[in-house]
Amino acid sequence: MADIFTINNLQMYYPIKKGFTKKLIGHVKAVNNVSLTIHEGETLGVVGESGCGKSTLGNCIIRLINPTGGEIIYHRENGESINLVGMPDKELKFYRKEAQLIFQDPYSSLNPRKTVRDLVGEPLLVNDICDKSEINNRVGTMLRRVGLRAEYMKRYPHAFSGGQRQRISIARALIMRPRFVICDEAVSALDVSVQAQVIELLRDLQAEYKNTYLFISHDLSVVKHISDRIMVMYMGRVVEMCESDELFRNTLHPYAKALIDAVPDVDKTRHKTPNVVKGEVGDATKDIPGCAFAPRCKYATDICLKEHPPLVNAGGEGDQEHWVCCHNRLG
Amino acid sequence: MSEKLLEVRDLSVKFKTVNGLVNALNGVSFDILRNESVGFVGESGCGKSVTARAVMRILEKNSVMTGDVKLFTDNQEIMISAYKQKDDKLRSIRGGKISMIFQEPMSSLCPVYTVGNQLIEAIRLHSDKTKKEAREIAIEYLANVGISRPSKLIDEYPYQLSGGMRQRVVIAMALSCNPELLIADEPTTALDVTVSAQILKLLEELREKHNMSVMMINHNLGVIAQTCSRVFVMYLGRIVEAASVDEIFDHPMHPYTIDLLNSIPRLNMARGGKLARIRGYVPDPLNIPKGCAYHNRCRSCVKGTCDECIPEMVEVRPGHYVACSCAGEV
Repeated sequence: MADIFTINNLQMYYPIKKGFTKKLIGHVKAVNNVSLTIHEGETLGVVGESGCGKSTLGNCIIRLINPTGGEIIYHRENGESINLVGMPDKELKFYRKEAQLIFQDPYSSLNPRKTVRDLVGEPLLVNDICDKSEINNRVGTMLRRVGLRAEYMKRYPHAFSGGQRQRISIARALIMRPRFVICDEAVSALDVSVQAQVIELLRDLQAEYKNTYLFISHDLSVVKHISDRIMVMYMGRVVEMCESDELFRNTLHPYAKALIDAVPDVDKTRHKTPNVVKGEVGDATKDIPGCAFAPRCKYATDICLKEHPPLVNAGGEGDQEHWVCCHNRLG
Repeated sequence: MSEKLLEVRDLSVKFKTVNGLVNALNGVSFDILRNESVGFVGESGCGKSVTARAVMRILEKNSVMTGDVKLFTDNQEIMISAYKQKDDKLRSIRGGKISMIFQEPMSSLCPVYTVGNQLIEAIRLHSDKTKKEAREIAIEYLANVGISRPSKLIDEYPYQLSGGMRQRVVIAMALSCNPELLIADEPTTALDVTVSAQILKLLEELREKHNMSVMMINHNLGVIAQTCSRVFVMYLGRIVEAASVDEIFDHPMHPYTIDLLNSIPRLNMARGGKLARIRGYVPDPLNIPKGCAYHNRCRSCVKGTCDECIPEMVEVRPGHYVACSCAGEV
């Protein structure tokens, strides 16, 4: 499978300034040396707890923010490979047509003063894809595709429920037929039955349009359901990355294991209290020489506190890649 | 069979709004026994939080509540629903006999008082302890909920604590007067999974230690399966199914419960498995459909029956109650 992104040592350091002189006193390393490749047509799930850098990673890849270091190589359909880091906004215009974002909160991500037609049709007008006469037609088709009626296009967002609004967001993101879509907690704010509808809609649309998803979520059961591969992040770093089934069958990193154990599941944890990992996510402003998870990890040894483990391919079943970043990996 | 702690009969709550009367709760009846943990599950707007608030008698001013809520404590029956919301009797029950934990730990703690201040206030309201004694009790309770340096933390402000810590403080506060019933309204929804697992474990340990009953309100079926012994499934202001956890998850009877269970992604689901999509959306509470509220989304709806009359709760198997006219056939 061809790659759509090759990301090397991506860094996003936010400066912390203090006092009247705005003296620089440190950095929040939101994304710290993250390297990964995203294959064409796959769904890569990114999981982790709040503050682990998963949304920052998404925002960097979509270039809403400019990373402070590393490179994001985007492989275009015509064979060209472009580094998106540091590229000025004007030159990024081609990329805006090919990459789209679906946000978490369907209440704040739709402008309440615009009708659904304006919201969904705006990308077409901005990018000169079609003229005004065609808009109604295109928007109507897209709305029907996401399970809404075409006549809804004259309404405003307030007339819709959360699930319907999220469908509007999906229509808006997919009307450009993007190659790459980031779903940043796209189903987290929805009720379970609506969540199921939206997840299945996203999967159907992917089968039809053959686009690539980066699916960011804190909910492991949702991520497992939708993803081909899963990447687990902790405090700005990748701790484990492999095929989705492999991650659950053969978990190697203690943090990934703790995360899986903590998921309340109807079958797995019925009447049972899961193994609980102690403590909470550490302070992201502090520089830790060793593994960031070591203070909470029950397998931690001296080396874990001193030296950061490298991300290595431990090899999964068959020739699968199974990347893990741990001195004392499980299994 | 342990004794009854709370009896709720035919509880209805209506809200007067500018758009008309919203029937948030329509004739809900249930019992909670001593030392058990019961779960209320359903999607947003199904009335699970309103049930909790009605039991606690902290409903908003525009509400009208009917029905009976009875608390059995100290060898007497207290008819909670007979008092006015502001009555002193109720104020002594709230916090003293029934306590509540809310979803968002930041907004349930006052930002301008220290943690200790708020805890001591609660303890002194319900007992005649001196400030010094109350402070010691507060420290003890903070230690009980797994806070490592309670004597330091007691003088800190809520903003200095993380989400998990705040929720522990809220739990300490709720437990500080040894309540007999703890209402936990989505206690872990705002927290990360690993912290949420810690809090759920803590609640379970404390329930056993203090012999309390827990009324767990949650939209997450996994949390309910983990923490409760009995479950009430709610839909649009009614209980549609009530049974033990194993019964609900292994032999669901109500079509809504079945659809709900099929629509959650499970960890042991095979790759490529599909989630069930329930047709349509939850109807507007201002105009709930006639008959069974679920009939227009239900796959086994019978024309002429389901859309005409509201089904009664029927015991289909021992201890398993379902409100569906075709239950047992599904």
